[in-house]
Amino acid sequence: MTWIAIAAGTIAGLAAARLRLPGGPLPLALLASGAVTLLANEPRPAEPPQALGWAALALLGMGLGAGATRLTVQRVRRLGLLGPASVVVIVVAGLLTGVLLGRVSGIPIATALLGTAPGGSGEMAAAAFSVGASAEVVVVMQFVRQLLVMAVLPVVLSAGLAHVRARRNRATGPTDPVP
Amino acid sequence: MGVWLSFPAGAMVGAFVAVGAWQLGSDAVPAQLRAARQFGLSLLGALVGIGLTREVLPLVTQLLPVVVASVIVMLAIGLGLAYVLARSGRAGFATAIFALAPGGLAEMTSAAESAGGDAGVVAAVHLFRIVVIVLSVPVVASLAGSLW
Repeated sequence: MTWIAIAAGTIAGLAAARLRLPGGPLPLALLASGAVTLLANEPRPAEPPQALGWAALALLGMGLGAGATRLTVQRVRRLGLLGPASVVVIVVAGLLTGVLLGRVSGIPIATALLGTAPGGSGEMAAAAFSVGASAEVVVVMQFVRQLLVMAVLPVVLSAGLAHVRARRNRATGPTDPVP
Repeated sequence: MGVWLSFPAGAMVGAFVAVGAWQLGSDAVPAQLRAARQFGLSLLGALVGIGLTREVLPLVTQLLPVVVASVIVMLAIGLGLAYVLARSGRAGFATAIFALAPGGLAEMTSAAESAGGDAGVVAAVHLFRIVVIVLSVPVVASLAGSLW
């Protein structure tokens, strides 16, 4: 049954990638494979070969490394010290939130840290898979984060832009209405 | 090599370091490597899904409120930093917001593009953040897991 679950999950993930579903292939692959496992209702599903996990991790690493081009470095540099410094603050905040979440909820600290770290959901799930944390909980936490950000950000952006325009209008006096 | 060195998430970190070092001398992202990532994500999702047993489902529901609260904290920090970055004049408002929001790389890049931000900068900052996290958080999580 393990192999059927892996096949179902991989096919569902590739379909999600093809259809460009939000969240990418990971959530749908997990749901499909999880559904097969739950339906089979085996008390203890057989462990997949370790090499398969390494292969998935290596493919993810290759994909991540592919984006690290000269152009990427130039773009980050354009932001000066403030860009990288902001990223470091976000990473540290993510770690602190993870420690706090681990304390409050009682979930293992490694799972909490990887669940709250604002890395890619795939990369964090891969890390969880590798260090023995609960990868399925990490995926759900990462997915909730991405959904929430997607829902909140457009509202914040339009409010922020309205604020910037209003301030600009106040500074320059009454001008044509903003479309 | 990453696995052989027993580095946390060694297969991913090792492959990232090798391909990243090669790519630093290039400006293009090969399509095969993009496809490799999609396949890797699908396979990983399938492998993780096997652990989705009846015992895990209630835990996920129970965790939801604290997870939402932690995301709100992260979002507020990201927005605060984006405000500072936009005020510094190094990036536009939309670019700063989407670059420092704790969302997914692909989603934030396309949203920035449709909001009139600089999608290239947004993608670069997200990639930089993910790289910093991939290189640091598995080590911290592994250490914290063995200490606590």
